[in-house]
Amino acid sequence: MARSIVAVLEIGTSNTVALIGETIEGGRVRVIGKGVARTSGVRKGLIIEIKQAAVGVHTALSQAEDTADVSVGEVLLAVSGTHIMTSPSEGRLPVRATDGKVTRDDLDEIRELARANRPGPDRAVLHALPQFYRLDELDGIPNPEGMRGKQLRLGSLFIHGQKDRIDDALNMLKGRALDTRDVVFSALAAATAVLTPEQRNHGVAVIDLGGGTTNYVVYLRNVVIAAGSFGIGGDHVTNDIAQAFSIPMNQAEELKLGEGCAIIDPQRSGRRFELPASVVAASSRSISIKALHTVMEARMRETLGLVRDQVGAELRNAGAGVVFTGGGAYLPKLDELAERVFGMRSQIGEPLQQYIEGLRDERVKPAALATVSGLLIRSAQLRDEDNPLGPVGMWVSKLAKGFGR
Amino acid sequence: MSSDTGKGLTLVGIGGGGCRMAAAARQAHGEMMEAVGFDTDEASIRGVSGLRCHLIGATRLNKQGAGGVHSNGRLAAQDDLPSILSHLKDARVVVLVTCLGGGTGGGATPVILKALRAEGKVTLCFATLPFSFEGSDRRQTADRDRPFLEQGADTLVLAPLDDLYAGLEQTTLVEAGRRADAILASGLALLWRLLLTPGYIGFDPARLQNMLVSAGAARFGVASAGGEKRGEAVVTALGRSPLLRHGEALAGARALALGIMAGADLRLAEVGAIMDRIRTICRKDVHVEMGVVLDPCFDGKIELVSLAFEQWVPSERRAGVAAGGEYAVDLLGKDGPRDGKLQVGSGKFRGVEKTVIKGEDLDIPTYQRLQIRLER
Repeated sequence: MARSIVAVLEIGTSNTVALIGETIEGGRVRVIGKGVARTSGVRKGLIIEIKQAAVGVHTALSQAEDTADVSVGEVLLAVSGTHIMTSPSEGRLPVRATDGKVTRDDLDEIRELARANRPGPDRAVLHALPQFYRLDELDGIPNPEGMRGKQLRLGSLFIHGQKDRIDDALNMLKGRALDTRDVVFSALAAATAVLTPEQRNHGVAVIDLGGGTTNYVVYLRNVVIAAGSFGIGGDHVTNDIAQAFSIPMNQAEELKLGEGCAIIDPQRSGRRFELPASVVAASSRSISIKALHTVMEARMRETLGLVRDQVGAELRNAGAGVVFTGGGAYLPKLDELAERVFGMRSQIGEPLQQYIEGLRDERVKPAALATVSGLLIRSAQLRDEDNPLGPVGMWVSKLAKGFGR
Repeated sequence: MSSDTGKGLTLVGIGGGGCRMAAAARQAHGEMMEAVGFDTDEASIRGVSGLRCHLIGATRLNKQGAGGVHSNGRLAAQDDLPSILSHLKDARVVVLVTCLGGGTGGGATPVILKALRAEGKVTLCFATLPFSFEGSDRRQTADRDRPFLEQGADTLVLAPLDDLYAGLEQTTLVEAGRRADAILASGLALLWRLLLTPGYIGFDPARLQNMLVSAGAARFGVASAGGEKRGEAVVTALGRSPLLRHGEALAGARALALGIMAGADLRLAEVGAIMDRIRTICRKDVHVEMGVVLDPCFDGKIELVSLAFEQWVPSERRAGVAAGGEYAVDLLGKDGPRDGKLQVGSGKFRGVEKTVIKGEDLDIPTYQRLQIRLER
């Protein structure tokens, strides 16, 4: 097999990350180049200062190109932000064969029909994900080929974003002579990297806690049944802390990372934290750790509550619980808060060794690399379409064969 | 966040008349209604039963009332704003009732409306206008206060007392007063039932909220009918409602929120008859949101409750209007940071598109919106 190189990019609100990888045996990828740069000019997942954001992209990509010793002309890009939305579509088809059996032709045709109801012209469709088949009264069929019935139905879930916002990102990359091969919703990419096939089958929610956005996807029986994005992220936690204690943002960020907790930690609640004297505060003072945790819990509880309000009904069937990715996933006692909010267990989602290797990086924790890892895995699988795909590639291959872009 | 019983919906009476009506509405609906009253006159508060009433501006006005002076009402509300807001912290949609023409209703209501909007809450304000026989002074006061309410409320519903009392000229003043209060109170109670009962066709506070932010002024009307042709009859009765200007408000409405309450005996054909009838009265392009509540207490009759909106700007016209930038509100009282003054605001997110979900500006720190007291 020829060595094929792929490059991926995530312009996050906190960090811009570039990875370059090569495909190895079994549909896996090996990371050969990495670049991480602080992002500026991006708020809530959206580029607000194109020039500043371009600096982050340049730095991250150059680093990755240097370590990999290749140059890149094409990337796969992750997007997020409140403009990402979903809408359903459904196709119906009478079964044509005289014996009433569903044929392969029927399936091909209904897949076309299922994506007929596209969102408006100002929306860019990122993904058109097939849902379950329904044959007459029988619902939830993964593959109805050969079954008898009269009418076949298939739903699709479109994930789409605002065209202008996505074009902004693509144009910025074009300015750096980079073509964008595909645009992927970030939570979907993260899910690709961290979920086992069993989790996807049993039902699972992946919640990506980013700096500026919170993104989620919910799987049930290998199908994406819900997805979305909120403009609320780790920056909000930091901003809340800065306002609560009248301290600068960078100090609030340090406090969050050093002493933060998703719930009020009884073991630490009696303690106080000494803020050193600085330019803004002439004398040193102390703040209550309990107050810090109160501020953080209020925000985190609300954020998880927003996700629960959106996908509560679907989540009830998610036997594999909740998986957190993104930098926020490492917040201490997040699992306890999630248990209270969702009533189910949760875990940190780090990219799985069975899909990707060579990821370790001292600057960024693995769960914060879930999205770029997922992009790389996806990208490698899309490039090697002829290769037999592993389980993770099943839906990717579906996309490649006519469902996605 | 929202309280479980009221789904984030709270009724607030402001001033003597407002408290009386809120109390009457709560009596009509029952204990499940989240309701609270604010007045400047201690004697008047004592006369209201069945509603938690709080005295405002006590230090300034000596518990004696605003004396019909607008600025007294305004200052009273400003003095006690933190305590007023603390009673409304669980609400997402606040329905205010007040009587214009006096000092407390006209002065305090705009202050409260403004503060609620700043907190990202959606407001529906019912205001009665004084009788013409009360003289031009009160009418002028009411006319002067009206624009402040229009500005502050997401939707303002005006109910001239002259209209409420229409047809009651020959009854005694006391009886007419009671019956007119009852019309508005039963209307509010019906609205609550529509919003809080899980309906056959649901119309929940979130949907009302979406309508309120998309529409401006509104007229409010209720009607009831029983018997054979009750479907047609109830719409005819609604059309005759003086509060809806005898059908004028329906005919001109750009949007209509319509609640149908009936017993389990409601037939599909009757719903059809109601909607057909409504369409013949209203403009062709009217935007209708309807809800149906089936409840045994309505057996044998159909009741309609309607809000007829004069304007309709669909979708996100108002996204992010809440909290117009940086302003100082004393939310936490004396224990708050910065000598009791707390900067409420989006801080880092200023200048970026706001994250507004269900009318709440989520860029404002959560602990501030929930008014959580922090250990110092």
